[in-house]
Amino acid sequence: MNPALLSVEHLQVDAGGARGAAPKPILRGVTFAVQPGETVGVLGASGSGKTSLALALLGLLPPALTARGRVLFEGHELLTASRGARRALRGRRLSIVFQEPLTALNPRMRVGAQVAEMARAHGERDARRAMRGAVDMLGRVGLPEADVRAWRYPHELSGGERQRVLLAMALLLDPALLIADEPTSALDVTVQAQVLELLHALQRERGMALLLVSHDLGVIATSCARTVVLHDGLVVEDVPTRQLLTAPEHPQAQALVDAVRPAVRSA
Amino acid sequence: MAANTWHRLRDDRGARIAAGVLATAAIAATFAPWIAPYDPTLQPDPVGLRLVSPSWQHPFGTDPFSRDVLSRILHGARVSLGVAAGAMLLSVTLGAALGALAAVVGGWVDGVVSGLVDVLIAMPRLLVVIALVATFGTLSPWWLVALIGGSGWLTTARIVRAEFRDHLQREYVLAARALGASRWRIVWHHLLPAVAPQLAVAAALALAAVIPLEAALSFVGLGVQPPLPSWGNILLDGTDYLTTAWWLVVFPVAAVSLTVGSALVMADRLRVAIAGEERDL
Repeated sequence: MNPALLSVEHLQVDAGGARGAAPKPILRGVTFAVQPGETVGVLGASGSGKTSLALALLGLLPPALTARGRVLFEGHELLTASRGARRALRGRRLSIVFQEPLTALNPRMRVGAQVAEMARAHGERDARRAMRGAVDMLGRVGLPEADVRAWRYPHELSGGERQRVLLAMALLLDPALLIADEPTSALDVTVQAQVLELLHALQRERGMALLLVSHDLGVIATSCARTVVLHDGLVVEDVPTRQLLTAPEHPQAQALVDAVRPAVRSA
Repeated sequence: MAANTWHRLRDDRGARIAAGVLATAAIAATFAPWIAPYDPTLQPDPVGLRLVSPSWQHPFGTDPFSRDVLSRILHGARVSLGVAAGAMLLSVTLGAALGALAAVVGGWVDGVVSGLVDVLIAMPRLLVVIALVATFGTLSPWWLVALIGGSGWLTTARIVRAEFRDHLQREYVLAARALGASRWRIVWHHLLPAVAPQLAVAAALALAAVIPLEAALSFVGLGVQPPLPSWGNILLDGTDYLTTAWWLVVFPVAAVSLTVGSALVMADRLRVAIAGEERDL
């Protein structure tokens, strides 16, 4: 069997626990794997630990949270890797798109420069070449008139356009795994569909694996072959999405499915 | 967007006038040797030309040693503003560096820097500098820059630390880290540009604080030493003649007030421009 691209084993994230207080668990022994090129959905209501999972994979948990367990990515043990080693992987091999594109972009930096900054952070010395690469990437994620809009500031773009900018940043260096944390929930429904479609087109084109984190079963059902359901920090289901839709086992999974069932059925 | 701040500033009449005064002062200081009608230390006729009131030959009059006051004010600008600019740059750079270090590294480094600021800020700056100068004897202008600048970084450090801590919690910084930017890259490319307008305000305020400080030191005879003219020691030469030779007092005081006032106006208008920009984002 091929080794998994990402393998999460007994990942435990606790809040607090300093000064003798009992730590509050946020993730409780989360275990799942992502194969190269695979699309996996992580479904959970708010508070289920989805965002902590995404941040833990990147090694960006806030200082108050501690992670234990094993996270293997392309042969690197991420939880124990040095800060520099993790930083070199982030953005280059392992990338992320955040939920709210307006706050995830620097309001004072032109969007083209923010995309180019990605290349610069990973060793590109030539500023002009970085900028050309950024404009090219912005065009490929479907930002209209990319060569003009690259010089705009985030607040001058629409929500969908901003999300495309974030996508361009995340995909610029051709990562093997993209984590998308609620990538569409800040967008209008029509724009949501466009962005998801774009995400999959780019994924196929690059053979990239996608970990799609969402509370929205509709989003996950249309995109992911396999779904991991998180509830209260526990993986309660890890099944093909079709099976989840037809025969959810865990009551919480059942509830999430029931909430959208009419929509999914008609789709 | 930072560009917007400068556009707002450019369209602000108060800011333009203040910038004009400061630019004039800077030009006068830079080109004093070519502009000044006389040698500022020359005493052509200590008897016949002593305390001549303003005239076409001596627009700002002459002092008790028959030296031309206009020439001394122009050359004094060189010394006073040179020391002030140097001290301002030193204090703002030092403050930005220490404030950034405290915010980014955190932990005990933050504790040490913040503690130092809290202790030092309670000390009256003028008295500390006077005490230091008195201890070391008279000082060259370079030492004045070091002393005045080295004692003025506290407020800048506070501002930069607070602003950095605020920005470090914002999602765009998390996003930049998530995509592999190093801490110092984030400081340099995201955080420093974000605080640049506030740094400009701090610089203008530092300038406004430092010009009178140098003048005060020179006035009490501890700063720039005669015969080198500075705005403070020109005033010192005039104190005995306050009632008989007003020009010895009015012109150096006007020079100090105009530059300090302009720096304060500049700081104020900058603040307004920044607030306007924040609203737009």
